[in-house]
Amino acid sequence: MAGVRCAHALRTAGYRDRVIVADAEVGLPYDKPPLSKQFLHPDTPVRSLTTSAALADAAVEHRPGARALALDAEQRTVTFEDSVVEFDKLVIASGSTARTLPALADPCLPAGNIRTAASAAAIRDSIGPNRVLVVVGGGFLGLEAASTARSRGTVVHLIEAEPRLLARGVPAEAAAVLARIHHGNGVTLHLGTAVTTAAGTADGRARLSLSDGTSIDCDYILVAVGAVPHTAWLESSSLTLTRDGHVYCGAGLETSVPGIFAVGDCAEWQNPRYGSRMHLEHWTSAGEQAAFVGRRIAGEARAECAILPYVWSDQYQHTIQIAGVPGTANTTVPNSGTATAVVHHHGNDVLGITTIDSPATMLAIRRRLLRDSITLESALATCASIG
Amino acid sequence: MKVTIDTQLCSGHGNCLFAAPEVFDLDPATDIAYLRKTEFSEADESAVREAVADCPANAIQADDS
Ligand SMILES: Cc1cc2nc3c(=O)[nH]c(=O)nc-3n(C[C@H](O)[C@H](O)[C@H](O)COP(=O)(O)OP(=O)(O)OC[C@H]3O[C@@H](n4cnc5c(N)ncnc54)[C@H](O)[C@@H]3O)c2cc1C
Ligand code: SF4
Repeated sequence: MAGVRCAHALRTAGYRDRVIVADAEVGLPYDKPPLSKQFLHPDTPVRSLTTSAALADAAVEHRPGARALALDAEQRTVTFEDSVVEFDKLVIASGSTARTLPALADPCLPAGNIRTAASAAAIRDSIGPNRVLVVVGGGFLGLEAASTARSRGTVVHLIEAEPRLLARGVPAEAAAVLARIHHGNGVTLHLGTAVTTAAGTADGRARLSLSDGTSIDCDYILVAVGAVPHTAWLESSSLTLTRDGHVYCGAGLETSVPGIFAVGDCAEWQNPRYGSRMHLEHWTSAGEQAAFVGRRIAGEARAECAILPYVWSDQYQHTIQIAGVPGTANTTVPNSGTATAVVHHHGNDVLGITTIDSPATMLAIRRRLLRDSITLESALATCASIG
Repeated sequence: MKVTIDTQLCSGHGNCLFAAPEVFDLDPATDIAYLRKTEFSEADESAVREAVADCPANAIQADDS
C-alpha cells in the first residue's frame, strides 16, 4: 500500500527520475483492509490500489512477483531472485506478516492467517452455514473476520489469551461494548483462554483443546495474533533494525543510512508529535508516511513527519474508530444504543479518543487534537454536544 | 477538475477533510462527506488528489478535465 502511494506521491511532487515499485505479490497491488471485511463474502474481488493505466501515466515501473532478497546499503543495490537493481534512493515498504503460534504451526492443520488475498481466500472458502470457525486472537483482524463469518451463518468461537478483547490500544470500556456486540451476534467468546493442543482429524477438520478444558471441533482455524515486520530480508544489510525487527528511522523516516527510507508497518520512527518512538500498523498513517517520503525525496523541505494516529475497524454494522494515543486514564461518554466515546487522557490533557458508532464525535475531536491541545472538560463538552 | 463522492461507499472516516479541508466536509446528519465547492483552485486540486488517495473507502473520484 505505502509503496504504491509513495510512487504516486513522488510524481505528484514533480520527481522526474525512474521510479520502480517491486512487489513480491503477483498482479496489481491491492488494499489490505477489505480482506477481513467485504472480501470474505463470496465472489468479491480484491480492491486494487492503482490501475495499470495510472501506473503507466505516472511512468512508474511496476514489477509484480519481484521479492527483494537482500539489500546492500553501501553499494546501493537490492538483489532479487533474477536481477540486481541499483538505486539512488530506496523506500522500504515491505509491511508486516502474521505472527505464528507454535501450537498451531502444524502444516497439516486447516489453519491460516489473514495477511494476504490468498490467505483470506482460504478462510472465505471455509466459512458459511453449518461450518465452524475458530478465531485465535481478539484483535481487530480476528474480530472483523468473526463478524463477517457470523454474517455468513458460520458458527464462530473466538479465543483470546488476555481476559478481554483488544488489549492493545483500545480502552477496556470500549472493548467491553464490543464484547457485548459480538456476544449478541452469536460469537462464543473464550476470554482468558489459550489453545493448548490442536490436531487434524481424518475428515480434514481439526480438534482444539483449550486451557479451560473445553475442546472444539472446527472446519478452520484463523490465527490472528498480531503481526511482525516483514524485514528478514534486511538482516544481512547494515541498516539498523529494532529489537522486534522494525526498520529504525529518524523523525524524517530516513533509516540509519542516508537516502534509504522506511514507511508503513515495517517502520519505527521518532514521531515528532509526541517526541517518542512509534511503529503503527494502520492504513492512514502508512499513507501519510508514504506521501511524506515521496514529497521529501522530490525535494520538499519538510524534515519531520508528525502523525496523529488514526485507525478504524468495521464489525457487523458498527464502526470503531481510534485517534491519538492511549492515556493513563479513560473517561466514557455513553450515548444511545452502542454509540460510545471513550476519551483517553493524562490528568486534564486529552491524548486520544475511541468511539463506537459516533463518527461525528470522532471527527470533531480528531480535528481539535490535530490543531491544539484539548482539556478533558472541553472534550467531554464536545462529545456531549454532538451526542 | 470534476470531483464526485460515492455516497454509498463513503463511510464517514473524514480523512478527506484532513487532506482537503477547503473542499470536503462531513454532513453531521448523515456522517457522509459532501463537497463544499464545485470550482477548484490549483491548490484545491492537489489537495483533492491527496484526499482521493487518503480515502479508505475509495469513495472519491477526481477527473481532470
Ligand atoms: C486483513 C487486514 C485488515 C486491515 N484492516 C485495517 C483497518 O480496518 N484499518 C486500518 O487502519 N488498518 C487496517 N489494516 C492495516 C493496514 O492495511 C496496513 O497498516 C497497511 O496495509 C500498511 O501498508 P504497508 O504498505 O506498510 O504494507 P502492505 O500494504 O502490507 O504492503 C506490503 C507489500 O510488500 C510486499 N513485500 C513484502 N516483503 C517483500 C519483499 N521482500 N520484496 C518485495 N515485496 C515485498 C508484500 O507482498 C506487500 O505487497 C489491515 C491489515 C490487514 C492485513
Ligand atoms: S475519506 Fe472517504 S469515506 Fe471518509 S468521509 Fe471522505 S469520502 Fe467518506
